[in-house]
Amino acid sequence: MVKRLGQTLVTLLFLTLMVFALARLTGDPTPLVLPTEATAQDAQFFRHQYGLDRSLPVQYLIFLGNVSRGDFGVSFRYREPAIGFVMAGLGPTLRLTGLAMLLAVVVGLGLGILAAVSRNVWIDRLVNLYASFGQAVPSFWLGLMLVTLFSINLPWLPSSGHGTAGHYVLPVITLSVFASASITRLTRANMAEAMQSDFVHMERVLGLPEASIVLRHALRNASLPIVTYLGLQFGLLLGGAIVTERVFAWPGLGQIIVDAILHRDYPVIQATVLVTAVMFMLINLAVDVTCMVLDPRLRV
Amino acid sequence: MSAIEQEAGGRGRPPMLALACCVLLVIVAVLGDIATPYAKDFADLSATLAPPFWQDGGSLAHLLGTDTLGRDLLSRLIAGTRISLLTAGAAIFVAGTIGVLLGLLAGYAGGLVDAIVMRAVDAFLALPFILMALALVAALGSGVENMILVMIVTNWARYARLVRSEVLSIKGRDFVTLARIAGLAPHLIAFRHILPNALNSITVLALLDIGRAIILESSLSFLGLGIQPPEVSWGLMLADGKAYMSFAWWITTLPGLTIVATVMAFNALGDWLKLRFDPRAAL
Amino acid sequence: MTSREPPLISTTGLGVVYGKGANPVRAVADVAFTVLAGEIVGIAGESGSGKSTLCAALIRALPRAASLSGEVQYGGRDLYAVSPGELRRLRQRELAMVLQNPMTSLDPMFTIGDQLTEVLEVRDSGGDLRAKGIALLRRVHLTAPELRWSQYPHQLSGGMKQRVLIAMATASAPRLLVADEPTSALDATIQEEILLLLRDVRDAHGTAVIIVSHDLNALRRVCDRIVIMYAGRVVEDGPTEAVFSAPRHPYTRGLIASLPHLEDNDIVLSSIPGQVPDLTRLPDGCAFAPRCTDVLPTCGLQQPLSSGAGHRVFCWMAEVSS
Repeated sequence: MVKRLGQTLVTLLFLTLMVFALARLTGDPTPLVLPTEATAQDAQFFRHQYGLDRSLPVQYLIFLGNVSRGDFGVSFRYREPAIGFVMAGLGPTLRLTGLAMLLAVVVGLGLGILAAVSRNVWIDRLVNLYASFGQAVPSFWLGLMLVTLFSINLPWLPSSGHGTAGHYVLPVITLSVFASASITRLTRANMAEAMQSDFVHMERVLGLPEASIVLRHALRNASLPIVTYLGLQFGLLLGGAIVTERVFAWPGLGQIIVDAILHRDYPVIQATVLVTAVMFMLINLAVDVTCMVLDPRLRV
Repeated sequence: MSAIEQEAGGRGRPPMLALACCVLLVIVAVLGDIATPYAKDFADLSATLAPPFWQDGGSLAHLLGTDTLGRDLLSRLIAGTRISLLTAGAAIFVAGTIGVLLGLLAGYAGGLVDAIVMRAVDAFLALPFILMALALVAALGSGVENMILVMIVTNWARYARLVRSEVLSIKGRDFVTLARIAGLAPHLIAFRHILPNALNSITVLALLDIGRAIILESSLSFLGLGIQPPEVSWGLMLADGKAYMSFAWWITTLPGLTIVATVMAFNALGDWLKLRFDPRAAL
Repeated sequence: MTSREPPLISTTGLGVVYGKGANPVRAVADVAFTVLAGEIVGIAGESGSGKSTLCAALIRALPRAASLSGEVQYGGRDLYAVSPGELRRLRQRELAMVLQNPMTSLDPMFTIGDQLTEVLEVRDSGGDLRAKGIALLRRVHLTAPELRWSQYPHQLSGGMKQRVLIAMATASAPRLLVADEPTSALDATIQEEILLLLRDVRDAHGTAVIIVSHDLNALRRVCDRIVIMYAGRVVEDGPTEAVFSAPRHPYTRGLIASLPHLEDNDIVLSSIPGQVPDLTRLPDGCAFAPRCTDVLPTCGLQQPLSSGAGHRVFCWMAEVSS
């Protein structure tokens, strides 16, 4: 456990280095931030104020120090703490991602179990088709298709923006499709394998009801790889959210970071990326703990 | 194993439809602009927004219709095939090579080198790849070469991880120890013995990655950060048609369907190969 | 047991075939077999003799890929004509099975107590299930049952797991218990205990027990009756002592002779020459003929018929000499 934490810390350090490098790669923000009439002296002043005139290693150390104190600096564009923007966008993005994850798990588990347990070849084929399709469809295209169908042709749902429950429907569905396809495949494979186990055979011979065998025993045994995958899937969902947010004009992190990148707003870029990555690592840690809870063999 | 997989895998035959699609796509990609009925940016302003031939107002002159500038959709789809497939293919190839080399290094050298490489891998995998892609694009700009670079950076890590675990599992085996005692240089052992064993998994990963890369590229192009005009990309075509969805559905829908079909074909091939190499992995 | 009471379970012309197409595997062919209430029957044979398949067929636990011919009569009913609901009821109350591999027959995610409770609940047991469960574990001589109750399968040894499985199988005093190689995966020291435990179950509840094993000596200890199988068919079937002291089938004689024994202070190990036949390519005649020392011309041409009443044997040679 300690070793795991240590590894996580080192990865985190590496991450800060990467983020720092990436943000610096986007180029010198000075010309973008300062108005065009700014003089060379203004530019010099600006650079000095933000420590941009120091050498790179020093900048990194300063950055590291600040980050550990939760200080991501002040946005170049808006002169407000960068972390504020991240926090503002975090809520909507997490809600979108969370709901999409929930939908994906429900649909994925449901279809996966159905396909694994059903003896009907056509059900299996349909589910597999859905899984293949879901993994191949670009989310932005799906979003556009859904918007056309349900907002334009059949005016049932809003096409963009944020506010009512109705606004959630299309973005959540769009975002969840890829994830639910992957979860379906994983569930189906693991459930099929679990259903072949000796103990499942034994439970049938003992006369246990089929529902209990499938949903209590087989599922529990199949769930470990699925739960592990959910951690990874969360990261993918966060990435997908960025694109989906642009399609639906969803006021989340996606909008914020794309804007920040286009305007080379280092502090906001750094803040967003680091917060996202930390969240991802925390989720993975939570996944590991959940696995230990689920599988008694892992509890050393 | 699904019924479909059983049918295909059991007879040792690849999924024919998927294989045919992939072959067709590769051929089209290689032929490039030669294969298009019209030049990809030939704008026939007298035939703008023509629907596909099966709809009212469509004609056989433009099988899949035209866009707002009267450019033939079919030609642009074909032209886009080249860009999408070549960028994805080139990127995966380079990413794979880098990843494999680093994985070999990490697995074989062990110790500090291994630790450093693996922490880098973890860090790269910790970031959602779109995030990284966006940052790189903003730094380097858009366009074909930068797209390839972006896809290389976001993809190498999984190959490194894969190859490293293969190395570790093979390292302990007897034939490697024998080779080492016989005085064979480490890099020779790595290339001659370890790599062929790992090649199967690498190929499967590469095939499955092509789909991912295509989606990544089209996502970026859609956002305006990827392939730029006058080059053609499916994602770009999709973005062009966004505003006309309600009355000119084909401009957006057809490129999207092309992406879906392409990715499904490569995925099906990759899945079949995976099942063939390791029948136990019913994934 | 010489009474003419109806058998608990009986089969006529039972056959099990695996796989379709060109080369199906005849795991079991033309078996007529009965078990009386409260009897302990041992089924012996080498690997591939069909003994495990026969057991699974007897309580309708065959895998989906198997196709059955013939009939299994349980308590006067055709077991395979019974509805799934009724089958489940039978499995809960009257039919029980203990499988070969205790290591994988328990669900690794749940405690022994949880699994035993579930089994008891399904048998309509009221009252304090924990107390009942622990009493059950004690009855199968599992040490420290309260501790084991809250432990997980991976924390128990093979022998302990097998005891738990026997406890589950006998939770409702079944009328028939089938034990398929219950001791093969266990240490030699535990094997005898498990077999004696099975006999205890019969003594306590009047359960008929079928024990499948390749270990003749073990079967001799506890069984009332022995059935010898070869290449999917029954070759000999009689009271234990009769079969051991006066085996009528050449295969049985060979098996008994090949048990390690002492002769003038030397341990003698001998074996039957030849190999078990390929179950996809069985000859028309007696399958043992190629390895038999007393072979007659008819042996290669036709299946032998049974002769003898209490002690049956399927052998042309035996028929000729009786």
